[in-house]
Amino acid sequence: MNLIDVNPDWAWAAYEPSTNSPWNLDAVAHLFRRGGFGASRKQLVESVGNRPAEVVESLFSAEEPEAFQREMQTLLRAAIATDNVRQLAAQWVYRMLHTPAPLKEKMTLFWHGHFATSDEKVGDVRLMQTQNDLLRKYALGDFQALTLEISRDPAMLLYLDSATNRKSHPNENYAREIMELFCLGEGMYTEQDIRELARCFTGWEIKRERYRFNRYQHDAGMKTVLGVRGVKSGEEAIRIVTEHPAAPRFLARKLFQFFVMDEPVPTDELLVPLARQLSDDQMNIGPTVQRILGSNLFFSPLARARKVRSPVELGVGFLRAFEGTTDFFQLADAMYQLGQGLYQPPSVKGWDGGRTWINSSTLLGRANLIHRMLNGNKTRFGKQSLNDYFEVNGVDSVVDIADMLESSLFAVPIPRPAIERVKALVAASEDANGVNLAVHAFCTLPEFQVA
Amino acid sequence: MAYFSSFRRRLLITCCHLLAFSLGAFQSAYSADPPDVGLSGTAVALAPDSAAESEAAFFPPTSVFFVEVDNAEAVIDLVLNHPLRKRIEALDAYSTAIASPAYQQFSLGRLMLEGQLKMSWREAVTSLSGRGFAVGFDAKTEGFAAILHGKDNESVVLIRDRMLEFVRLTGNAGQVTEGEYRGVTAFQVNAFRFAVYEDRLLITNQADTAKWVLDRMIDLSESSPADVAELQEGERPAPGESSLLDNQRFQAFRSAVGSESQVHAFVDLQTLAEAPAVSRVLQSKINNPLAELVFGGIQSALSDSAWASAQLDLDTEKLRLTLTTPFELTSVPEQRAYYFGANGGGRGLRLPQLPETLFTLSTHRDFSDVWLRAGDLFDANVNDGIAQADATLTTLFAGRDFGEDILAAFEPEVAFIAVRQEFADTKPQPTIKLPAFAAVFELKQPDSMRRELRRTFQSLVGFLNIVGAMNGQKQLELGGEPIGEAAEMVTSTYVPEEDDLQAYDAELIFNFSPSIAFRGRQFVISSSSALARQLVSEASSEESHGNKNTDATLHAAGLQKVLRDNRDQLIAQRMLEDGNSREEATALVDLILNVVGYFKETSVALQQDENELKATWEVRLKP
Repeated sequence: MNLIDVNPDWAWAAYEPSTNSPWNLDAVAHLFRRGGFGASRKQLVESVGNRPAEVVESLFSAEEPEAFQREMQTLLRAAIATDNVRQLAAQWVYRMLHTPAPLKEKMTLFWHGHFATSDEKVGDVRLMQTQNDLLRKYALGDFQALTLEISRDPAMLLYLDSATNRKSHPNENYAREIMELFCLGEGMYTEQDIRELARCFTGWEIKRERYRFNRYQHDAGMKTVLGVRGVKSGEEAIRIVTEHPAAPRFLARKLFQFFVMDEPVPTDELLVPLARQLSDDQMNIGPTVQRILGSNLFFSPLARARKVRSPVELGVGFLRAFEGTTDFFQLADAMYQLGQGLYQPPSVKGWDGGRTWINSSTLLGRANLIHRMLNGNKTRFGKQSLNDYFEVNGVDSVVDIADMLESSLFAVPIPRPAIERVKALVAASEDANGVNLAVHAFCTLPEFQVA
Repeated sequence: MAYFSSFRRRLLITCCHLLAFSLGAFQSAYSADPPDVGLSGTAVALAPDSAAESEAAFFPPTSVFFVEVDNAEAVIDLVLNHPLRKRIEALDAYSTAIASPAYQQFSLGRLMLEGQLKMSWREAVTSLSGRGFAVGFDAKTEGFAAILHGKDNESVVLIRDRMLEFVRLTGNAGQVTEGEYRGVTAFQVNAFRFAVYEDRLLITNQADTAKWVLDRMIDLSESSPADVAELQEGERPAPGESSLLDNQRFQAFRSAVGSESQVHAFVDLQTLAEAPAVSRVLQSKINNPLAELVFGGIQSALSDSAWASAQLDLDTEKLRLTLTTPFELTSVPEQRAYYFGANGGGRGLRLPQLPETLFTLSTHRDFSDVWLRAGDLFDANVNDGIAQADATLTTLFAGRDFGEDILAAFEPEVAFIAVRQEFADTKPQPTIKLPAFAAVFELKQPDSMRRELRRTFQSLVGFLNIVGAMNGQKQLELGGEPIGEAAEMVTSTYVPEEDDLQAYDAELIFNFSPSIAFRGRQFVISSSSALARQLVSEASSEESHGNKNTDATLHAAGLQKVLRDNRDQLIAQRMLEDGNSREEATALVDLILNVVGYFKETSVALQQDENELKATWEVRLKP
């Protein structure tokens, strides 16, 4: 079946396990990879005993306990105190790895790429983290409220050179981005709409790193935004933009691309049910994401292995699969080198994702990242070496390793010839640590690059 | 599969490492009953229990490096029964550490080795080297030699044989080769040659070195073998040939520093200086202003010295390492007069004793001299940098020449201090609590310089405010206050935003309130107004510096408090850097805090008199 042939009603109906897409370890691993950053084999085995809807629901109901939040606050305070974006990125990687609510972190990462803001320009980790907290607060919440708050967010406005916006010279930067990149997409607005929206935002300023409304610089005249006459304030304008019919379609497409597949591009028709749900929920994100993750299409073979692992998914997913931990500074640096620097997206468009994650240079870098994690002296798996971790888990041969990796990390079966090659590689090696060699060899396969 | 027997493999590797270590440390040998025969032509007899019973008698006179532990058993006893060890063993973290898989593997490896030796490792070490241990490097044969003076011949041979057996058992029998020299059986394992003669074990990495030392041992032994006469010409030292004991520089070293320390080392600088690489190090420009200020004078002293020594003293309260070299003030070139002072009498400035002190440094350095003589001390690149800095600083000081007018206005005695900051009643409190630090100088002409320095400080604060305002930084507010009749201060304080007023997690800058203070000839520039106030309010210590050119002390109590102030940040750092859980990181940080608490202070001092230059590093434990 091709994506174009998929019936939208079937696609977004609640997942019914079938012969073609059974509810098994592979399906659970697929859910945890897309709805989080992967899971250990133990967690997968536990979850497969529950009904699919229950497991999906558990992703949404998961909360970070107070003790965990305090721990994160300690890490955040330290990062902010040092004003060091490397440390800030390292703490986020730590959080992604250890959080009991991975879907929330995954959505925070989604919004970080959506409302992209980089510390390379903002240069203030406190502001960057304030924005990050905002993204987390609304991760699965009200998109309209998030858009309103992000429109007043100091990091965002500094990043888009919109710290001042005077009525005599309306700043069109933010108005353009909110329509093109954040809410509607290209072709859904006119240049006049941008000018009018920019007038709505006049008087919105950042002074001493805080938002303030300068009523003397606000253009109090009537504006027409997206065909709606008599718009006065920025708040009103944001409501109009986020309630525009193109907004739910635009968001549904982005969510589809983030959770279901990089390509091919879905038809508008396929996205109609999702867009309708977003609209019906007043742009409340959570229910739509839940519908996506619990749908027939999501669990169907069409959606398997259709996403290229991002550097964050690669690093964090690898560690989560084996209950691992490592030097988070190095890991965050490696993600940056591979094109996904946390708090440092490349442009206001965020990360393109998909095939752009892979090129000859990053492919080598991804292999090196796995090698560094495997052989780093700070890396431990379940508080021990990978060798011991495997021993405890009854992994006793290259075939066992392949089986373990396949169920927790791979979206497609590892080809038999590849397993034979790794067996030969390990047998020929004089390296005492053959486990690391085998895992590294498997994780450099093309099959490992997709999720 | 090979790698699935990882544990066993690692165990074997551990054992091999231990063996290699053991071989490195103990293998080789020869022994001799303590020779009590005098050697004609040598100044020192080798009688037992004599101060002259040095293993140096077996080292060539061309040895350029020699280190000796006279009574290794006592040193081992002291280390193993040290009160600090008991304190560390009482820590929870210690129990955790010895329960770790890594330690368990180490213990298992040790047990296997002990099983092979059929004695405890401590007994093995004592049997093998309890009566002394020496290592030297001979420039002529270009070889290292180590001599371990064991309990008796039987013990040393026993350990040697068991070690060899162990090597063979681990499948490395092919690496062991055996030979004989003058009736002494010698073995070679990899690059190491070793032989036992009487109650000594010799380890070397060169055949010629081995021959020289063995010849010496056999010849000095009471039971010199009968085959001496059979040796070919040139194969052995002629009777009466001198040893390291006859090296004049070694004799000077022994007479200057004695051999009372547990560990003493000798370096023949005169011979070493003939090596081009060493000569380059001793003669070339340092080319780093900070390194020049620290090591410049020492380099000059060493370049003209015949020898240098190191002594290590250890007892239950302290560990002290003393480095000594002969010193002639005339060997110091004119451009380095800044280091020791014109007559070599330069001493550091005394500081008041302040509570919660973390670090103090008092020294003699004539900064003006360094600045003005930079052309002689550094290369063109460094001088370009200094010229640029000079232009900027001259502008800052309103056109007055920085080297001639400003630096020259200070006496060469200076001091630096760092103290813990107390934030109990202060808000905002920074998240990371840095210690306050200050430099203390004496002005040659306080009346004229006070005004100059006060005005410059005000200009600097104004400049920082303008630059800061352009970058959205917080502003400094200038203030001033007299302290009593004799002292005055100019302060600057960061003005907090309203949100920061009650903050406990404020920015780093709230550690700082840059200030200057004057009292009489004293001038203080400090990172915090509180410290500046303290420094001009308290009388300086009456404690004499003696003949110390430089004296630096790190106080463990102050350090522990500063670390404790930042405990959360240290924990966070460990979590992110080591991948630890919060519990693991907390345990590690608390362990560090506890261990720091066992110490009183550590200090480094450089002192000179007419004859010698001495550097001392001392670590003192809390009683």
